[in-house]
Amino acid sequence: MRSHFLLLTILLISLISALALNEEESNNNGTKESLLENKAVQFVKIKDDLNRTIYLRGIPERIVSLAPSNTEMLFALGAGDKVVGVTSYCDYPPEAREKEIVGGFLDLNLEKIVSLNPDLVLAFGDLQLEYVNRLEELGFKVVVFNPKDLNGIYRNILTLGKILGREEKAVEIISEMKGEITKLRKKEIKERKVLVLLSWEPLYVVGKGTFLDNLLEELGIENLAEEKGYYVMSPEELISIDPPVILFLGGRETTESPLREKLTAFREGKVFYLDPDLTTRPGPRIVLGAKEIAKALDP
Amino acid sequence: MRRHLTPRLLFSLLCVFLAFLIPLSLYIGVVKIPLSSLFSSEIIIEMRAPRITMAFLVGSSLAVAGAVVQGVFRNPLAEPYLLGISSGAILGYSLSFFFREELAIPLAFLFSTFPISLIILASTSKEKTILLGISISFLASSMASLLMYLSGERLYKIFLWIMGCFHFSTWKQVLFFFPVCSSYFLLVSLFYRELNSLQFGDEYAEQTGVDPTKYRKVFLLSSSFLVSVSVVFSGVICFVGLVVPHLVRLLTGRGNYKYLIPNSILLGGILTLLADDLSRLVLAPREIPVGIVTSITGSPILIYLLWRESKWHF
Amino acid sequence: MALLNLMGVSVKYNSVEALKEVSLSLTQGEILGVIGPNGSGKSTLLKAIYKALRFEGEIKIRNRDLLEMSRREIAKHISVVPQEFHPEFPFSALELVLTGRTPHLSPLRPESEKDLRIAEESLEEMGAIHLKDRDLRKMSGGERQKVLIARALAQEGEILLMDEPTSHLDMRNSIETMEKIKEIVSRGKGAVVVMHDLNLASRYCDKLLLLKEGIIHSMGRPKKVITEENIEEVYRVRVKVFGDPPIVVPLGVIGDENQS
Repeated sequence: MRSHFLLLTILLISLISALALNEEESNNNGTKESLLENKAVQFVKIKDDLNRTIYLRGIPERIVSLAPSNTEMLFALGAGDKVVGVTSYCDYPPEAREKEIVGGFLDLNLEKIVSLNPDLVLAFGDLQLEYVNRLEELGFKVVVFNPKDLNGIYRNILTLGKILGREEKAVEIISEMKGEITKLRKKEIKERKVLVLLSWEPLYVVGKGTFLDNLLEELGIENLAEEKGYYVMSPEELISIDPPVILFLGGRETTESPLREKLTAFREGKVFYLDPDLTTRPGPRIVLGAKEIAKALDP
Repeated sequence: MRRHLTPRLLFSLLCVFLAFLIPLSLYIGVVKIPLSSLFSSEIIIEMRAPRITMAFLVGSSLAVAGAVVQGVFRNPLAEPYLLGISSGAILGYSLSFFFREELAIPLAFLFSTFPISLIILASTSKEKTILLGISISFLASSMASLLMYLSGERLYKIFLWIMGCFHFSTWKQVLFFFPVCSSYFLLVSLFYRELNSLQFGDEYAEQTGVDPTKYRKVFLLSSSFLVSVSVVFSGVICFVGLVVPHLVRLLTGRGNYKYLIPNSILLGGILTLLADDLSRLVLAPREIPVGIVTSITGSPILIYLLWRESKWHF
Repeated sequence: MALLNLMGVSVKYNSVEALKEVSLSLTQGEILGVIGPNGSGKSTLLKAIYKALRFEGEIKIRNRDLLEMSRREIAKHISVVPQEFHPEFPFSALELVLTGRTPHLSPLRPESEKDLRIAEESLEEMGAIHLKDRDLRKMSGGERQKVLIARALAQEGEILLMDEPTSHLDMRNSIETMEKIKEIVSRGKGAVVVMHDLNLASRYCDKLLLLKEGIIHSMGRPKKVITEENIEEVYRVRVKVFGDPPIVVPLGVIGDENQS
């Protein structure tokens, strides 16, 4: 938990206790390091998605990933052997499943992460902030990825490539991804208006400004959702929009609701169930997700 | 007829129990630390030790605050979050996601202390205080619910915070919280006589030379402050404040605050620590939020206590 | 010197005058009985005396103005025995009597052997020492009343205010209690006792104050106050009064109005 408020009120006490606990801190926060030290050792300066500048000394050998998209990126860059900890949702590639599990997404186990003694933790999004802070307090290096669009994903892959000393591979992956997207854009897709849902009950919609929305945009497809972010839509709104195509990314959940009769998409069999692993993970396989979307819209 | 423990005996027993519980709690956890390096491992020192300390301190604070609030309002069902402290905190916490997330904790603290403090200071009578407090509580809850509905994917995070968690405890937190709760314990211990008189009603208090309005404000303000601070560190932990004082009264057969306070400190701390241990143990490596453990274990205890009370309270 | 002096005391509850221009004085060794029908202001009078409510007029304790005394001070001089008492939580009789010592104690001056002794002696005086560790909630009304009186004794106030101290007691206990009060008062205290039992009042009180709708109807020795006219006027009950001290025998109700 952020303790800014407490720091303001007990600054003195913090300083004293920090001094007292100083001997324990052999792992210092990288951001305090002077650039002039250790010219002989390779070090890397990167910026993460929280706009923080982070200095890493040498190539990390023990990496903990806190999201499936991060894990996939690591393996894609050929650094799978460096991964020592993943989440329970990290199931691709199959080798990832054999790694130590440190938690789910928001219920991570700090002790587990610490016990793996990582020299790099790859966090995700803005919901893991408390873990990020605590880990940094304990002296670990944390890099946070939070891509909002395709370019963000490319940037993440590049940054990770830089961290791992695999920049060439990163560039290779990115250009391959870009190529695929371009190919898909050129395809003759008949249906160009869709609505993307994450669940039927409630109607959880993928709105504007999300990376999925950006992906659709790249493919030349119009997202009929009007609001920003992920939000709940009412059935009436859905009926009034009446999208010609519905893409469902919520796994196996189906619906028996009376909506089925009212919506064009249902009547014309244009409700497509896509693999959430390919479409909701902002990592290298997003391209496969894009392919699935394109295929659904133009079989 | 019913055998009771003397308060001193209970206190000693609890101390002994705590002495065993501490190393056990340090040992419990996903990461198995060999006993030989139990006190030198970084995980133990930097993570588990502050965690069990906070669990104990928060638990004892809630228990004592609960005992005090029960006496001030003469209500066996009173508990420390009674005056809208938890609702206010949840409201503040949820609100932060619509502005700046870093403000989550400060906002939670703000919304849990200020409305309540104003009510306590402004109300002249017990009834007014309680009615206003409950109304604010409902108002805050409903606004918080609205915010949670609108919060989208943040909801899970808010939920986890509400359910209580000692996962992020640090020594800095202990350094801040310890003086706060020990000053409260000191205050309440110094004025236990006034509490004893207050629990028999405003008139009784007056008859024994205790100004009911003044002391009610003192006790409620300090309790609210302490509980708000604890919510900020650990989220909402139910049942401890309600059940522990009753357990102490049941075990010792007495409600005298002279003995109720020290025993509540120990029992509240111990039970919360146990709950935290359970939360780490039962579904390892996942953790159940502490508040859920206390609710699941606290409810049957409460039911039992109520059943027992009704049998011979005339 | 008078222990207690009231001059022109009035109390208003929501624009209803519960007490109007009441004056009285209490000296050492005196028991002043307050009698009157329900709602005549008896309890209000007691509450005003220990400053539990706002009043107009003057109240002096040993010539000190009540309004200038702190609550603690007042409690050191005035011991109150309430009529109603409902404990919510377990508490022993001895512990309750000890709360009577609160005005004499403070965080810097905690309980000592002396306080414990005073508490136990008070219980003994009331013949309730065998109840000392018993839970208040498990006592009969009468037993609780004795404990409450013991608490008032332990408080060591020289003015005793009692609100119907015998209401829960049977005949024997009532008489014992009044005898005890008489004995205690004779040691230099003064007592203002609200009584519902006119016969007990007439027997044990040195002076009586008959209240009607917040106003003093008559005040003086029992023989002077308890007369057939007075009772009929105030209680609206036909009675026969005879003897010295006067004994009251109710005969029947007068007229339409409801009286006791």
